Amino acid sequence: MIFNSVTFLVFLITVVMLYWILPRSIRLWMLLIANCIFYGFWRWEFLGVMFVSAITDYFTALAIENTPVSNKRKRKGLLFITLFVNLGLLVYFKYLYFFTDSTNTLLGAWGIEYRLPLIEIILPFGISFYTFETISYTVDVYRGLINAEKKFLNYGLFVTFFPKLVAGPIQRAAELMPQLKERTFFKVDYISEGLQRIIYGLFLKVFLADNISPLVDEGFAVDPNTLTALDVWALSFLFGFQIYFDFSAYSHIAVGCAKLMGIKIPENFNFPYIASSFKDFWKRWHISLSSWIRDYLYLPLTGTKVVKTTGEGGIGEGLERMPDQKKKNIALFATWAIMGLWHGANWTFVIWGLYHAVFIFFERQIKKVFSIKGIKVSRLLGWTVVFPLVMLSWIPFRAADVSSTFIMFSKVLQPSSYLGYSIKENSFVVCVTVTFIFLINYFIVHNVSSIIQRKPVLHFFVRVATYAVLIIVVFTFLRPISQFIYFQF
Amino acid sequence: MIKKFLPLIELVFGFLIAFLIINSFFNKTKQFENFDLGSETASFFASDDSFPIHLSKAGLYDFEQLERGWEKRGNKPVVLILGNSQTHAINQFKPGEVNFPAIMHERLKGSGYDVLCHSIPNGNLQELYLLSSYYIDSLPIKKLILPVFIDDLREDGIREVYTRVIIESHFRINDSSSIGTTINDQLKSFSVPEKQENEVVVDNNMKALRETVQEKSEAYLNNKLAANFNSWNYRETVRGDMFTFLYKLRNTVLRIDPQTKRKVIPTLKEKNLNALKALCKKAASKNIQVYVYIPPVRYDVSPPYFENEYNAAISEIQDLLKQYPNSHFKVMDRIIEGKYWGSKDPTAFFKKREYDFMHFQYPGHQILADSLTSFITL
Repeated sequence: MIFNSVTFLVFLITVVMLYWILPRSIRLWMLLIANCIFYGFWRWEFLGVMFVSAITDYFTALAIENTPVSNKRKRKGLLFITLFVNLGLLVYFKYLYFFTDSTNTLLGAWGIEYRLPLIEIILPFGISFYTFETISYTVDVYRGLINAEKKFLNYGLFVTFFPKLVAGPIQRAAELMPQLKERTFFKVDYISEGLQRIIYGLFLKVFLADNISPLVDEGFAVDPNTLTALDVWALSFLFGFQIYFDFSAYSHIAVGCAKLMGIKIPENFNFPYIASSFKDFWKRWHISLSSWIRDYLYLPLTGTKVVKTTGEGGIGEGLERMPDQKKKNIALFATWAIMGLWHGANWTFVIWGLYHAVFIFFERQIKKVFSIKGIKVSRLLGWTVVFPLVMLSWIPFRAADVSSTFIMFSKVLQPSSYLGYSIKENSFVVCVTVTFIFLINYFIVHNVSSIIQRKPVLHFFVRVATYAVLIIVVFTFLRPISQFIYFQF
Repeated sequence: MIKKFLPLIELVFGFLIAFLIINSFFNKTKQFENFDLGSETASFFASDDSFPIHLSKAGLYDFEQLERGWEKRGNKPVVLILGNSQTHAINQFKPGEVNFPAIMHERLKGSGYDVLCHSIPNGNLQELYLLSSYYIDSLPIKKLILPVFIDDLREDGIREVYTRVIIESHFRINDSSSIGTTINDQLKSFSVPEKQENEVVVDNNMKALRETVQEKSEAYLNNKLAANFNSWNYRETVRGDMFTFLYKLRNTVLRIDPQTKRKVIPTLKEKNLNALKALCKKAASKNIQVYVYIPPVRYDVSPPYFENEYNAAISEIQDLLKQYPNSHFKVMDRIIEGKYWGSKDPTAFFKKREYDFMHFQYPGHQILADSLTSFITL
C-alpha cells in the first residue's frame, strides 16, 4: 500500500481505531493481519518471501539461544543459516540480474562468446529493509544482546509492522518488540503527535517531492554530453532535494503512523543538508541505515566488539577511539561500497558510496593535520564546502549509467562548461527557491519557533494556520502519481 | 487540562479552517489551456455541416466525428494543418469571425481538397510529429502544413491532455529512431486500462499503482469521493490555480513579461528538430508534400527573441528541410502588421496589459490564409 493514497488513509483510520478498541489479546493479531493486508495490497504473492525470512530467523534465533555458548561451532552454523537465507533472498531478487550482467560484460571483455542467461526478476518491496531487520535480530541474539522471542506473534509483528515495513526506518528488535508487547493505554498526545507527522510527511511528498520530480526526470533524460556545468549543478541540487523530501516524507509518515498506536520508531533524518562534514552528514541522513551499518558491518570489519546496538546515532558515533587506522580505512571503503550496493544493483551506487568514503577519508586526514596545528574549522565554513559536495554526490545515484555519471562529473570540472545552460530556466529558479526555503525553514525551526513558543496565543494561531495550509495543500495534491523513491531499494 | 489537549485542539481547528476553505473555494472549473490566451482572445474550432474540421483537446470520439464529416464530403484528399494556439485563437474576437484553417477549408472546397486542422497550445514538434503520424495512418493526407514556432522549440515531451485521441486508440509511432522510441515510451506511461465492468475508471493520477492490488480500491474510493464530495472534483482546478499563482509570482519577482528574451535551449531544439526530420521522412515515404512555414510574429515592438539565435534557428530549419525533396519552406514572420495584433491579460502581478506576440486578429487570419493558400498551390 502506498502512503500517498486514499486507500491508505482509510486503512490507517480503521487500523488505529481497531487497535485502541480491541482487547490486547486480539489487538496484536489484528495488527499482524493488517500488516499483511498493507503489504498484500501491492503484491500478495510476495508475502511468502517475507515470511520465509521471518520464520528462518525466528527458529534460528531460538536454536542459537538454546545452544550453549561453549558450542561455538553450532551457534556459528545457525548464524550462517540466517545469513545464507536472508542474503540469498536479497541476492536472488535484487542482485542476480546485476551479477549476471556484470559477468557477461567481463566475459565479453575477455573475448569469450558465452553469455549467462539474463533473468528479469521483480524486486519485492521492502526486501532490503526487512532482511536487514531479521538479520540484526538473529545477530543480536547470537551476540547475547537480546533474548530470542518465544512467541511468533510478537516476532512476526516486529518484522511486518506496516509503518516501517517498506522503506524503514530500519528497526531493532530490542527497540520495537518490548513496545509491541507492552500494555499501552490510549493518550491524546499519540493522536495529535501522530497526525502532525503524517500531515507534514504528506505535504513533503505530494507537494514538494512530486512537483520537483518532473524537472529532475526531464533533466536526467537529456544526453549528458549536451549538459553544461550549470545544468549538472542544478540537477544535482534538484534531485538532492527531491530524494530528501521524498524519503524524509516517508519517514515522517512512518513515525506518525506508529505514534498513533503509541509506538516510537527511530527518527531517520535531522536536517542532513546542514551537515558541516561528510561524517556529520551520515549522522543526519538515513540514520537508521547508517546505525545498522555501523553495528553489523563497520564495527565487525574493524574488529571492534559491539556491546550495545541502537537504531540511533548514525555511523560516526563512538568510532573516534578506534586505534588501528589501516583497518579503519579498509573498513571505511568496504562499508561504503556495500552501502552503495545496498541502495541498488548498479555500479553507479557503488560510485556514490565510494564518493562519500573518499571525502570521509580526506576529512580524517585534514582533521589530523588541523589538530596538530591547532586549527579549528567553523561550522559555517564546513557547511559551505560540504553542502555542494554532498549535492553533487547524488549524480551517480540518479544518472542512468556509469558513463553518464563520469560525463556529468567531468562537466563540473571544465571551466568552459560554465558559460551556458541546456535545461529550462525554471529548473534553476526552482533549485534556488527550494534551497532558500530549506535554509529559511531550518532557521525558523532552530531560532524563531522557540520565540513563538513563549507567546501562547501567537503560538496557537501560527500552528492552526500552518495546519490549515498543509491540510489544504495535501487535500489538493494527494494523488498516488509516484511511489516513494526508496521503495525500489 | 486545556494544555494537555491543546495540540489536538490546534489540529482540530486547523482541520475545520481547511474544511471551510475547501468547501467555499473548491467549486469552479477552469480551462487552463486557455490561460495564456487572456480574456480578449478566443479559441475557434470550425465545423462543417456540424462535423468538426478542427480539433484540439480531442479524444477518439471527436476524431471519429471529424472522419465522418470527411467521408460525407466525399473522401477527398486531405490538406492537414497542424499548429499551436496561434492556429485556433483570434485576438479581439467578434461574432462571425473565423480563423485561417476555416477560411482555407471554405476556399479549397472546390479544388478537390478537404482542409482539416489539429492545433494544440504550445504544441512542440514532438507532439506534432505524433499527431501527424496518426493522421497520416488514418486519412489520405496529400499536403501537410506545419508552422515551426521558435518559441515552441523550447518545449519538450508529449502531454497526455492533448493526445487523448492517440492514447484512446492505443496508437504507437512506427519509428525505431531515438525520437520515435522516446515518444512511444511516453505514450506507454499514459496508457489507460480499459474501463472495467463495474465502472471503476483508473486515471493517470494513479500511475504509481498500476498493476497492483491497490489500483482498484483506489479508483473505487476516488469515484466514491467524487460522487459524494463535490470539492474532490475541483482539486485539479485548484492545483492549476496554485501553479498559476506560482507562475505569476515567478514572473513578478524575476520581472518576466512577454517581451523578455527567450533563449534557444540547444538540447530541446535538437530534440524537436529530430522530430521534424522524422516527420518529413514519414511524409516522404507516403508521398506527402510538407509545407513548413515560420509563423507570423509581432515585429513593430521588440520581440521576445535574441535576433541572432532566431535567425540561426531559421537557417538551420531551412538547411534541414533541403534534405527532403517533398518539403517546402517559407518564412512568413513579417506578413502581419502590428495593427492586427493585440494585447492580453498580464502574466504577472501589479501589471495592466501585455503585448500578445502569438495571437492576431481576424484580418491577420485572412492574410495568413492568403499566404498559405498561395504557398501550397505553387
